[in-house]
Amino acid sequence: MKRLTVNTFALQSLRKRKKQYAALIVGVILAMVFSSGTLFFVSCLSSSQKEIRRRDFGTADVIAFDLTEENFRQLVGQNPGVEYGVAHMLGFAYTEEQEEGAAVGWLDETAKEYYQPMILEGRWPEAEGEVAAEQDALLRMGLADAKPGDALTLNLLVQNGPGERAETPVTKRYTLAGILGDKRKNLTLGYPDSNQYLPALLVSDKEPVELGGKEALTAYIRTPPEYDLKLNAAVMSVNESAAWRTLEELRGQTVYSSILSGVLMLASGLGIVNAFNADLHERKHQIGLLRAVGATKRQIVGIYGRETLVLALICAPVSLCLSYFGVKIIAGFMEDFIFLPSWWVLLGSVAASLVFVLLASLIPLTAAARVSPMQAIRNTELGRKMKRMKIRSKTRFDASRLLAGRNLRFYRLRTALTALILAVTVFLSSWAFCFLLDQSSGMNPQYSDYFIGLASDQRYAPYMNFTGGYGYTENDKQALLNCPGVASVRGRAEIYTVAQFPKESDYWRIANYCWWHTLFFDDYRETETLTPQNYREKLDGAASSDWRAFQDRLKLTGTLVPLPVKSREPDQLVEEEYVLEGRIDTDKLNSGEEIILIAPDELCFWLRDNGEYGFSAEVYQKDGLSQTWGEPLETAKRSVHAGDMVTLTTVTSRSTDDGKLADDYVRTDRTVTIGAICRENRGIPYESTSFCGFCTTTKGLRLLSDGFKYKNLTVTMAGEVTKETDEYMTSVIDRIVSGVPAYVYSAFAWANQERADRRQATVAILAIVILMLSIAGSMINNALTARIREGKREIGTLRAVGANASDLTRSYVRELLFMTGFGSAVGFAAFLTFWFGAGMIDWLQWHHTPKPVFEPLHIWQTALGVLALFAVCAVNLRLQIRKHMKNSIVENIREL
Amino acid sequence: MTILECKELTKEYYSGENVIKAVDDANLSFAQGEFTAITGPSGSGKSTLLHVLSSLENPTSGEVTYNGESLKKYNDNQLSILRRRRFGFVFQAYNLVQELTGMENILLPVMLDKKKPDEAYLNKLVEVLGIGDRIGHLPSAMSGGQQQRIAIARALANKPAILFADEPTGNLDGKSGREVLALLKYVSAEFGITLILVTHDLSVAEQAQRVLTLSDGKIIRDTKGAAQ
Repeated sequence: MKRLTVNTFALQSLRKRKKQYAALIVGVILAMVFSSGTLFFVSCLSSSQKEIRRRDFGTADVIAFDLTEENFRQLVGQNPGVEYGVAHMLGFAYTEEQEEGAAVGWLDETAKEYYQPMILEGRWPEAEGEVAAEQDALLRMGLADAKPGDALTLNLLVQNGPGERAETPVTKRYTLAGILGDKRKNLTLGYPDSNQYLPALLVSDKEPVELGGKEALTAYIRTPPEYDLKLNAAVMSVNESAAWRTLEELRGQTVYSSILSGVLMLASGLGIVNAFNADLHERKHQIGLLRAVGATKRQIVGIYGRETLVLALICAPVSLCLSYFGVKIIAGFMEDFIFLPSWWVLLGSVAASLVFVLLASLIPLTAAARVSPMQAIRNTELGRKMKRMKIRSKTRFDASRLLAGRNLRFYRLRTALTALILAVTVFLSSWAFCFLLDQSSGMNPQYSDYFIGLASDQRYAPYMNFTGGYGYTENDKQALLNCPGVASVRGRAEIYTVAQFPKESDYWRIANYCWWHTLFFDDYRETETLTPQNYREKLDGAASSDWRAFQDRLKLTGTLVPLPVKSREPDQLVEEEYVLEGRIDTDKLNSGEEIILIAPDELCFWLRDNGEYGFSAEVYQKDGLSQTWGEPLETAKRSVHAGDMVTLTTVTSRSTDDGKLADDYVRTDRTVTIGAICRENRGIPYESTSFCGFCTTTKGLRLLSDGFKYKNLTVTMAGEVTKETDEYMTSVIDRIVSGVPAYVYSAFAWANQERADRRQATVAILAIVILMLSIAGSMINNALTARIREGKREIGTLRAVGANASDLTRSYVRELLFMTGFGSAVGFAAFLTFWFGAGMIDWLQWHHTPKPVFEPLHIWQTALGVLALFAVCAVNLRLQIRKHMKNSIVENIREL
Repeated sequence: MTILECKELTKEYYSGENVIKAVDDANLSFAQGEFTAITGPSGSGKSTLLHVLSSLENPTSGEVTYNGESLKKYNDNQLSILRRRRFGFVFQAYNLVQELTGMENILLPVMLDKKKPDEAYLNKLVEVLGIGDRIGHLPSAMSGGQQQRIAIARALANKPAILFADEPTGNLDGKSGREVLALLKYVSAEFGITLILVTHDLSVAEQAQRVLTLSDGKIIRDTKGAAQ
């Protein structure tokens, strides 16, 4: 006779309960895939982004360029423990046909390692006369079709030390050894002159310096973590470049995703506990019988523990494969995703979820083993619960409602656990949708396709406007809008006005002191004579002769504050400014009735010690304080409030800006109400902004000065920018900027990247949401299916006393309705609290207008998902009941 | 007057490749108000006969008629209504709904029928069955005898025409068993209910008006009981 051991009992039990275990296995696999898959996905995302960053930017933390040997030695001396690679810059090369070009240089071994060349075609240059060119450099030089092995004839402006190049080019013939992925272009977003200093045409170290020339150095610097690199003020560098930013974004993303996957793991853990709990509850009678025939607690844990172990071991490899292929499939849908799987993370996360499954099963298992044999057989627990819950007998009831209600009350822990899983799912899903739609609601202007700015925007007198100056007209804007494929063109203008505030305040002097020395001093060098001892005297009394003459001639008296008025698109006004007081009313701004004042509540003034260069005045808003500067010398509070009237005097002349008031000036005085006071949003790129100024709509600005020109135009395309579209757009932009000292930056590659990133995020988040809802659905289904199985005898009894299929289904659907309703309500309530609460914290901390984290609120998608989940579970319930109805009542009632 | 009838009734079970005839060609009729005991050794098919007669199980062949109407014509919903209104069931294992109190269990068929309970009738039932002090408790807090009384009250709550009882005293001690049987007899006489009871206890069978004896699924004897 076969010996009955704990192992054989467990295996027999597994064989007999194949069907029940199949559902449990599906639930556990889903939960394991969810937790390990998320971790694996986060790890792949992180390694993919690191790889993309490495390919796009290299591995240097800072690149300092245009250095002399001495500058470089100083840099090394000032920063011990930092590693350097050096690029030897030989000149600037361009083609005859195109004026644009690229800097030429060679990299030492360390620089090459930090540069991380991505060879798309061909190879790295090895001999004299060979060159490897970045793709973007070839495109800009009109050599987009060049192939490795081609001979390139370039004009080379030979380097003559830092900042100096020969005026006449020499003709150089290179052989194109290789085509490289872009680095310079990615690194230098916002650094218009970077193509002069960062090498994009790489030659070998055998390339000699041209006769009469002298190298300039570019240092590729890698710093230890959190290192405060000391750079001489005169050294140009890209330390806050796109590379720096993406790295920070990457770190943020990884932390965010890790927290998310931790929460998801916890949620799946709850699901597993719940699934096992339901399973063991169903088998309580069996446990009681085993205990009654002498099984010890240890043996009970042994039997069911082995079953769990076998289950977990079945689930682990399946989860491993599903996680791997799931992430691989998602990766396939994502553009620019480099699938670099980390097997350690995958195995580790599956092992962790294996342990998690065992631990999760142990909780209900030990609880079940604690139950006394009679308690389990007779279910005396219910009687105790009834006494605790003070249940009263009813004499009038709807049978299905009463049964559902009782089940929910008696098994409320299970109900709560299931509802909790759904609540977590609802919270995360709502967050995911809001995050996703918030991200895609508007393109970051930084990633707009084309930016047309002014290369030189020097202002001398911040109290006059000169229509003779450079800028872009409404016609230019319209011409861009008419181009096919253009989604929007945003123009930003700025005029200067003199505001007469009702109250005298130190605030305005502080605000303008460091921004406009021309208001205080005739000679710029006077700013260098400021000291902590004499600054107050100058702050109070100094006024430049031009500014004085202007006031006298226009007979202006009182608190006169020259301030810029900036134009914004109406949607940007709402999005970008933090309202401190009042409210933004676009109609009133358009009609010129109101204006927005950008001015923080409090300003702080410092003198920054620049050593041999003296002191420089710095002003910051209170929450932008640098910890290293210590206490400010002055602090001033704004005395103007929303609702105050202000008179704006705008003076416009057709001449150019030399600080003097020309005879042809036109003066406009306009008294307006300050509708809202905002705190400046420092995230706006391409704009030199002070902390203070006015802001209105373009229409409103036109009422103050009709002759203004746009300082910059930002073009966003409707879709991907192809080579042909780029060529067309470039020709239109060339016409617009002809004769203007323009700075044109085409960031379409970035914009395309941004679009691709959004698509990636959408795919990833949708996959997670669907998976989350499936798991919640599977857990709810498991719990209810187990309830039905457990209540098989009850179903038989109810059928015997006359209940039909719809009576039974109604009862279980009510339970389902309560679970999903309660879980969703808790999830939505938690999310709304987070939504409003985070805004309130922002308000309490920074006194910003209370603003929700995401706008607008997108919860209907999740609600729809929950409805779908409810429908699926309800259908499953119906099927389960039908299955039992197919059996005879006697089969339902019969004991094990 | 015949209330329940079966013709050529057969119920087969499959055990691997073997066919077991639990009920073999039974032809019976039951008169209104009659107390019939079905008896026989274990495995003779007495419980199966009761289940098939009461529509708890479908027969393999043959038919059951209630008030002259074949139950074959009834769909699932109609059978549920029949069970709820005209049939009452008492099981050996009581089969009370564990989450409902005694009173709620008793009221279950009435409430499933969405009827107003006949309070005077129910009070009388409770009084006759002697369960007034236990009806507010859950079944798990009751003794076997008390649970069976609740089960009898539930079976009678809708004033059924036929009461089917499957070994109703099988789980009870001698005294409780005798009490329950007396109650069954009393209520069926009091309310004019046909009582069909399965038992292997001859002393119980002796109290019936008619005794059917089964062996291997066949009715081998149909006699008038001692009570007759």
